Amino acid sequence: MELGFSLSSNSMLRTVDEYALRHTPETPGVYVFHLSAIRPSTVGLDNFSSMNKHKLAQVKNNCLLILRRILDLQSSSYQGSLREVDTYMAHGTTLSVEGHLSFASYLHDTVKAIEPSQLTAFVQAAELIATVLPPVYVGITEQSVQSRYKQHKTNHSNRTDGTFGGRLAEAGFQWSDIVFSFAAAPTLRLENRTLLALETYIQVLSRPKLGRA
Amino acid sequence: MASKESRRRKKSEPWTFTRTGSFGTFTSAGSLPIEYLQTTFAHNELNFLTLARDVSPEDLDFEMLMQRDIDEDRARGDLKEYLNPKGASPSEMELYSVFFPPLLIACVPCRDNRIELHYPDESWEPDETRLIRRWGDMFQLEFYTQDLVRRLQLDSPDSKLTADVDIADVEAKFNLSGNSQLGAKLIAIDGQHRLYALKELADHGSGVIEKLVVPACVLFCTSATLASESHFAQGGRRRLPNVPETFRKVFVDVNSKMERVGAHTNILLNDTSIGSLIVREFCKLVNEEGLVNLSVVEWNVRSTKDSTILTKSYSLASVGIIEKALRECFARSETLIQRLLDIQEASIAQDLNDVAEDPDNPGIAWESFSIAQRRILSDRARKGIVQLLFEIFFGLKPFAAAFDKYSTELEAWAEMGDSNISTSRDYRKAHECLTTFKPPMDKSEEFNIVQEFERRHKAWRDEELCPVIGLALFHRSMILTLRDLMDALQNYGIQAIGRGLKELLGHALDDEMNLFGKTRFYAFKSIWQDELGVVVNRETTRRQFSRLTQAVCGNARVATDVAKKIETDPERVEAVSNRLRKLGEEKASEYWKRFVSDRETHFARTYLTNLALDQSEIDKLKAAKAQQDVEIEAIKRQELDEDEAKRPFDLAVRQHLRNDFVRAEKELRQTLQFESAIVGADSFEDDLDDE
Repeated sequence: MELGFSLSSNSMLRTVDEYALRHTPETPGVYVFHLSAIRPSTVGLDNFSSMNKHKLAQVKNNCLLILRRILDLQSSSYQGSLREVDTYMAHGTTLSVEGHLSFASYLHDTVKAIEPSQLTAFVQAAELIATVLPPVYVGITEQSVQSRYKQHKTNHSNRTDGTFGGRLAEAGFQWSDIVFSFAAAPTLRLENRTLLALETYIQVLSRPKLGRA
Repeated sequence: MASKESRRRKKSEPWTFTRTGSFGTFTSAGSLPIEYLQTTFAHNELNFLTLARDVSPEDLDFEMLMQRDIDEDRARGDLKEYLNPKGASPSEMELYSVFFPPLLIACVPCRDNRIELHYPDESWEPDETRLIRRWGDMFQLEFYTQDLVRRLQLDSPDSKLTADVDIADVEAKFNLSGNSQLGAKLIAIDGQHRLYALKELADHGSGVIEKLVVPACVLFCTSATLASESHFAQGGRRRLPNVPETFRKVFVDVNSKMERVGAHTNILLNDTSIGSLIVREFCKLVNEEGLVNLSVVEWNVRSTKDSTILTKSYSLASVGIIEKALRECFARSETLIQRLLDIQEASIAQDLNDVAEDPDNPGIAWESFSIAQRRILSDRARKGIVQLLFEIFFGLKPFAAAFDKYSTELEAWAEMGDSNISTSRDYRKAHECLTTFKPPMDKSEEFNIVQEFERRHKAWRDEELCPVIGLALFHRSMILTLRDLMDALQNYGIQAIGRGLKELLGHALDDEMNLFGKTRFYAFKSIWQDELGVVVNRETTRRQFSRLTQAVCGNARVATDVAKKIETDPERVEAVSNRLRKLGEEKASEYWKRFVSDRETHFARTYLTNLALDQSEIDKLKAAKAQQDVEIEAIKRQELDEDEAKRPFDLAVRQHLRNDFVRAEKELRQTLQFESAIVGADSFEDDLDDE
């Protein structure tokens, strides 16, 4: 376990916090960002004092607020047209289609129904499983993962349009809502071109929500 | 019927003071308008004006204490002297001219001498020739609407009515009654010192200002009513600044853009800086504990130079030092600001977004947030960083001991002040000077009592307490340590980290450990100049203090103690403890490297006059230095590769300091109770072995 207090998936992919990243030798590689928005400090569970009914209600309210943001991130819009087949071209008709995929309230309702006594455990578990969920961004760098991380963070701070950091900020997430993992290129024994293939492979399979627009 | 009503109203009119003058409104690019009346006051009318310090003389809250701060010596000395120079003959005075710029007077709503946040709602009472704009029973402005000399169009607060009025001749009527009903106070927000000097001369100046008419500009913050606020918010949560907020901004603007007021006052009155917000809440919290507590916090130092040091031997903290420390550690990182202010919680972040001035950029920056956001931030800061600062400066052992000693002395003064001894008045005055923040008059008895106490208190502190608690550099290092802990443990909020910091500081300031002892060999020339405890006055010393404090965590037992305060889940304590131990070892190593460099630099700079060296040693060092200079020149000319340089002088210096370093490393390791050598120091020992 890296001292970032989160799961480290395997020996190749290291999950690190900023402190650990700074103390790691600079290296090129592939890196991913996971979203860990539901965690003790964002739901109001990081205080020492015991939780009363009112505080637990506040914690749940915070969970639901964050959940709404996460679900907004999952939603997508579709636009296109369907053309009638096997007809003479001039007689064929075209169906224009527009749609919006939004998640049902089922998840929201399920979280809402969590017993107050189970809330703390739920939040802690949600934090721990962040890195086994699909990443929100995948990237590669031929320079160093440290400098790329810094660049993404600056983009978040400046809300730079067209960047991962900018999109993360736009979606209402704090920089501390993400977890960073990377695999060093030398460890993977991959050349740059193959590194690019690996990035594409991860992107296609995980469809990162805050990936390149 | 109308005339009957008018008569009845006239009979019960509350006005106690009337003033006429020219009216104006000051606004630019759609800014919040400040309305004003330019007028004058005769010498015998100055008592209608209030010094900010005279508001609420009892049960002061910190806001008012701040406003009332005035340098009486300056007012009494420089300004009175300017108006009435001592020793000037009548013929000299005939050739001497004086002038003061207009006083800025704020029309402030008060009840029982306490400042209220809003004016009563504005009403319009137009008749055939006049328009009366009235704010309840607090004040009114009366305009002529016929035979206009200088025309201005006014809009009613609900924007339903307009009126053309004459601004050249406007009458303001005030209710200055100052009882339990809401009334007005005319408070000088700029020119307090001038007003103080004028009042002194009016009361005791034997008529020297009898013919003087004081120019003044009375300011009205007419948008600060509940009706305007509700109209502005339109169901949302945006809000207009209230009366104190508006005038505070005018005060800061006037003083920062023109003549400078006290350095601390400018910090405390700044409404748009996180650092100012925190130190103001800190002072409020301390003041709630009592004026004796507040009197050990330096919050009203005027000189910029002195604003970031402790100027009194009994002081425990300074707003200038805290603000500077917070700014240098946190101002540049949005993430750290969020954690410092404890605003990561989703609902808080949402609230802050809802009331942001710019919805597209709702983030909180060190010097950029809205008034409505400020209220949320103050509340969060109060529970987190402000409480932590209070617990450090009043709760940590050496600070608490210093405060206990101080408050015991003040209690003794209070008792002597109430007794029948001949000096009771002097002790009463001395007590008053410290707890009402008025410096004692030079050479007075109370002055001597305070001076003597300061001397005794300093001697006691030097003897009994850890020598760093009165050092600004150490205070700033505590904030740096907080920042470093937050950086190393990113999953924890300010309250958890704060508990850890207190535990860590408790260990570092422990008497037995004597980590910061003046005679510590490992601190020589890196923290202390000499064994008398003269601190090395450099910015790097702040880092050295912080490194040494954090190095304490390199000890496994301390790391676990601190970790247990931060993490409540026993299963996670070990991970936190490991991280802290790593941090501690790293900081010990950084400390050591800097110490070696400081010692070597000092030796290299002073070897020619070093009494511990005999002449032959000095000659050898001189020769080595000359050789090294030749090498450096060759490197510059690219005739010698840097790696091939032998650096004979550097080696000689290290050789001379060898025993000192071995001793210092051993002492540091033993003090910190490290099981292994300090990283960096071990390689140094290897070097020596190679030699």
